[in-house]
Amino acid sequence: MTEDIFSELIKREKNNLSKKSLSIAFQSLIMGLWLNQLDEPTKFSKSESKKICIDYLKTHFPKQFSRYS
Amino acid sequence: MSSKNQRSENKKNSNLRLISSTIKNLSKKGINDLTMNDVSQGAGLSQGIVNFHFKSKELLLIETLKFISNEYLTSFDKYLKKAGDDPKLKIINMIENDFSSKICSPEKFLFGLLSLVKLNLNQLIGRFAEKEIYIIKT
Repeated sequence: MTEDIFSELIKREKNNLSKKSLSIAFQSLIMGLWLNQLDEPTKFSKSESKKICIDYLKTHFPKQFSRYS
Repeated sequence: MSSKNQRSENKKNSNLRLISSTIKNLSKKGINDLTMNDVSQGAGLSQGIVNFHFKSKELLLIETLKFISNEYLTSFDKYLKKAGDDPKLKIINMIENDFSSKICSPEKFLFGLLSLVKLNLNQLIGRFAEKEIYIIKT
């Protein structure tokens, strides 16, 4: 499912990135952030975590995610 | 409501209370020290009811894991449908779902993590044992 979404984003951005690598890295990022809430429960922030994920998307798809914050 | 429907509703409520108590107690006691008694006390139900619904601690863990997984998938589907066909919105909504209050809970994540480790470990031990038996037999 995530790979299909990245495949569409790659087509629209017109870059040559790998949908598989992007998908693995994206899912690992989410798992890592979930893990972080166990490691640092008082510092963990859901909104900060969402921002980190969106920043990841912006790095690879600047044309499509520039307006998201 | 008929008495059959009432019984089914009561069973569903008891299951939910037991599952919720399992998730809460596991984060306090860990997977090895968690007992059926902790779960029943946390749910405000008798231990007989836990045994009646789940038979063993392993089954209770599996059912709780299924519950968390279904809850995630149902919520994931809902967020994805809201996005329509736009891949940008789809991925943004995936992030919204993954960090929503319902899904992103330390107790649920810890439960999922520990259960998967424990269940995989048991499978590995099982596979190892089968292999050993095979070697002994041959």
